Amino acid sequence: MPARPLNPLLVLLLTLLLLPSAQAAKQGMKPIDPRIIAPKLEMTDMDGEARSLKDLRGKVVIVNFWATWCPPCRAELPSMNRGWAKLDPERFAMLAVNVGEDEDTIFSFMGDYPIEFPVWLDQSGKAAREWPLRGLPTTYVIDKKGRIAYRAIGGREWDDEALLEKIRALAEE
Amino acid sequence: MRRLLPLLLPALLAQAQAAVTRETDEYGLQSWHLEQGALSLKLIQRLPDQTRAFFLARGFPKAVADDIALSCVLQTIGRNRSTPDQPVSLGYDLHDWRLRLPDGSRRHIRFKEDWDAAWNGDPEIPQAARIAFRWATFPTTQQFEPGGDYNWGMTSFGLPPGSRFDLELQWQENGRPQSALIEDITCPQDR
Repeated sequence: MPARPLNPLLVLLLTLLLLPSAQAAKQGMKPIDPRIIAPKLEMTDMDGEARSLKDLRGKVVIVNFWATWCPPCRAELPSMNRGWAKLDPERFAMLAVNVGEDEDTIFSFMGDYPIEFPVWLDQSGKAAREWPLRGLPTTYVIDKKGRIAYRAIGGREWDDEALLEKIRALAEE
Repeated sequence: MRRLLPLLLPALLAQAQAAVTRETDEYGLQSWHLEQGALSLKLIQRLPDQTRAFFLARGFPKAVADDIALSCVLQTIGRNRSTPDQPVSLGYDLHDWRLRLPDGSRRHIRFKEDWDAAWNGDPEIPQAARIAFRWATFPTTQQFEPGGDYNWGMTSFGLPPGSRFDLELQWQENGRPQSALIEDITCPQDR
């Protein structure tokens, strides 16, 4: 039997059927346009030292809000560690801002889920209220001028080169 | 092609319209998964014991943890399915959602703000517990951008264990209103 050319309508219908599954793997971040100055972030770190986002001005800063009881936060931590290992600490900073928990809880959690970058403590939940945050985890990428450049609601694979490229590009601005 | 169309069209229509998948896991917990347009929404039963244990561990007094646990709490996971290639901005407000009960009446879910207001000034509820409640519950309003935005959290539907209801949902995609119905949701039993 001679081969018949494919009907274009059939091809279109099959493409439409397959589209969502083909796209499911892609991930991104929401660019904030125009960029807005990040709210204050002043708290202590795991050693009880006072810290401020202001002191990191000039670096690109990834600020991740999380809690130990939040499953998607735990799920993305290993990829954050891997992503952090790929960035130059002279030009970038990554912060895990814990919402509402104490040092003991976080310390014992880190026995099972090591965090290779600084953990800051928003124990009163003040920063989580003042930032435009709706849920955990949420991550913001702050440019060198202290403005929010990107936002990601929910977990991501932070060692994904597509995401890291966007973050690295901010350091070149 | 004429023979294939009747086979393909229902599948396409089902994709364009609501597709609700129901599952029961190995522990007998039921879940409902809606995929329509850019929205993926999953509701999963939480046993009252699970919810009770979670809030007791966060510092809630037992009576309050019980109260939450027995209010038909379902784990809720919302996701924007669209991608940066074909972006759809998705927004919802839980105030637009309605429970339709077997007697025909309709009501709101129990919002996290309602719980918080009920505990106003209660010295027995520590701040850490309130913070955990605020962030462990599904946001009342939310905007999901393309590229993987999602959120999760507990939603209290405010009904006794074992109650059944239909859920009328509304949301916006690029500002256009969308709606769907998830039928016959069952509140988890206290077992």
